[in-house]
Amino acid sequence: MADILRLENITYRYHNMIPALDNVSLSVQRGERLAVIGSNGCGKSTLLHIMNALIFPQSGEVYLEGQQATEKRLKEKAFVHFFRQRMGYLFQDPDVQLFCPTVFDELLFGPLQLGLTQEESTARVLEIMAMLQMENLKDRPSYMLSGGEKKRVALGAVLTMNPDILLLDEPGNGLDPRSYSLLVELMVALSEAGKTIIVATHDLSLIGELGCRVVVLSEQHRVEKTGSAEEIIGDEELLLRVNLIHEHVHYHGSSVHRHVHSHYLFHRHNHKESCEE
Amino acid sequence: MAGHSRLAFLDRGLLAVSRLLKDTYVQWDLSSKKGLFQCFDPRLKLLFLIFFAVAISLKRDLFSEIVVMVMLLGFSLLSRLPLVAVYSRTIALGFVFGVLVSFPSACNVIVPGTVVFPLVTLTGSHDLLFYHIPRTIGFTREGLQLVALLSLRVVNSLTLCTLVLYTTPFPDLIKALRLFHLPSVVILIITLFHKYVFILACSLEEMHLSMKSRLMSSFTSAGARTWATDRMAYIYRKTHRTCEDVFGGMLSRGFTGEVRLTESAPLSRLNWIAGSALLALWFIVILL
Repeated sequence: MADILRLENITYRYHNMIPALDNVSLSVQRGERLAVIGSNGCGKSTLLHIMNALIFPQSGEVYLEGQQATEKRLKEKAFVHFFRQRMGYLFQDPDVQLFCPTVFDELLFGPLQLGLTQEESTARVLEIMAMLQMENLKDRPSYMLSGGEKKRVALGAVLTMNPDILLLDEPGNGLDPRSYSLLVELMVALSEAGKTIIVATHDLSLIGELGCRVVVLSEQHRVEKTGSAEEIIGDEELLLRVNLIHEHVHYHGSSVHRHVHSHYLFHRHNHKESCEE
Repeated sequence: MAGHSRLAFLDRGLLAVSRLLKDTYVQWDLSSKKGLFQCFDPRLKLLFLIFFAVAISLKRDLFSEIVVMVMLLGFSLLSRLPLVAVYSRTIALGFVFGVLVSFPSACNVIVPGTVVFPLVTLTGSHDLLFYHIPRTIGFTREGLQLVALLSLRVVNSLTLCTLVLYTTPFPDLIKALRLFHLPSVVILIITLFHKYVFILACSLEEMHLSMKSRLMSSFTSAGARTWATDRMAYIYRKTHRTCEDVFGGMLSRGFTGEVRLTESAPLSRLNWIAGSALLALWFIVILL
C-alpha cells in the first residue's frame, strides 16, 4: 500500500531552543491505524501539529500523498485546499477548535471553507449530527456544552470535512466511560470505512482497543520503537523506560504490594510473589 | 477576621465575575423558553430594538413614554420574562440615570417654570453668573415633567434591550448583525470575544476558589494584591497562548483569511406578519 503521509528526519525546537522532536521519521499507509505514544512532553502533540502543517520543523520534510508540505506551498490556495481537505485534526482541548456562534455553524464551517455549497454543506452536517447523536445540541453555543459534548462537536466539525486522514490528539481525555466507548466504536467504524487514523495518546488501553501500529516516542523526543499494539504493550521494559508505566506500591489489607502499573491498562501483578508483609 | 476583610476586594471582583456567568446562563435559559418574542427571528428583534430605541428618544411627552412602557410590559409578560427581576434592575438603573442625574433640573434655578412645590422663599430674586435665582425656589411642573420623561426614557430603553437580549440566544443575536452587512470575519471575532470572556471568567472563578480552599491563615493586603496581579498576568499569557491555538484550529479547518459563514435563511411568513405588526405599532407611537 502507498504511503499517504511521510515524515523524514523531523527536528523541532520551540523558540529554536527547547527540543520537542529529534530526528523523527515515520510513514503512514492509506487506511492504517497508527498511535503515537509517549509520556507527557515527549512531543506527541508537536508531531501532530507538524503533520497538520500548523507549525514547520527546523529540519526535515513532510509529504502528503507524495507532495511536500512546506510553509511556502501552504500559502498557495490550491495546495491549502488539497491539504486541508485530506487532513482533519481533533485538538486535545476542544475549546480552541470551536469558534463559531452555534454547534450547527461549527459543523458547517469546514465544508463552507472547502467551497461546498450551503445545501451540500447542510446535508453533510445533518448526516454527521445524526451519526454522532447530537441533533439536540444544534443551536447551542459551544461554551454551553459539557466536556464530552464539546469533544463530540469538535470531532463532528472534523468529520464534516470528510478528511482521508484523521489526526486525533488525546481523543479520550476527559470523556466519561460511555462517551469513551462511543468514541472507540466510532474510530473503529471510521477505520473500516477506509479512513487513516493517527492518534497521539498516553492511554495504553486505547491502542489495545484499536489494535493499531504504535510509534513510541522517548522522553528524549526520538522514536524509541515501532511495532504492533501487542508487541509494544507486552514490552514492559520499554514502557518503563519511556515512562508509560511505573513502579507502584499499595496495600491489599495488611499486605504491601509493589509492581509495575499503568493507570490505563496494567494492573497486573502476582499478589503472592510481590507481597511484602 | 482580618484575612476576610483583606480579601474583600477580591471577593467583590469575583462576585461580579460569578454574576456575569450566572447572567449568561439565565439569558440562555430565558431565550430557550416558549414565548412571544422567542418565536421571532433575531433579525426582526434587532430591527425592533433599533426602531423603538429611536422612537423612545424622539418622543417628548410623558403619554407616549407611558404607552411604550405598557407595550413593553405586555411584550415581557407574553415572552414569559421574570418581571420582578427585569423591572427591579431597569427601575433601579432608571432611578440612578434618570431621577438622580436629572433631579436638579426639576428646580426652577435650572429650568424656569411654574413652581408646584416651593422649598425656600428669599427676600428677592438674584442673578449669579448665568443663573437667575428667583425669589421662590422650588420644584416646577416643567422640571418634574422633564425628570419623569428622562426617567421613563431610561427605563423604557433598558426594558427594550432586556426584552431583546433575554429572548434571543446571544449567538443568534451576533449572527443577526449580518443584517447590517458586517463582514463574516467581524462576526467571528465578536463570537470569539464573547466565548473567551465566558471561558476566562470561568477560569478566574476557579482560580479564586482554589486559592480560597488552600488559604489557612490571614492574607495580607499586599499578598492579595500580589495574587491578583499574578493571576492577571497568568490570564494574559493564557489568552495569548489560546489565541495562537485557536488560530491553529481555524487553519486546520480550512481558514485561509476569508471566512464563509452560514447564509441567513429567509424570514418566515410568521415573522413577516409579526414584523408588519411591530412596524404598525412603531408608527402609532411616532404619531402619538
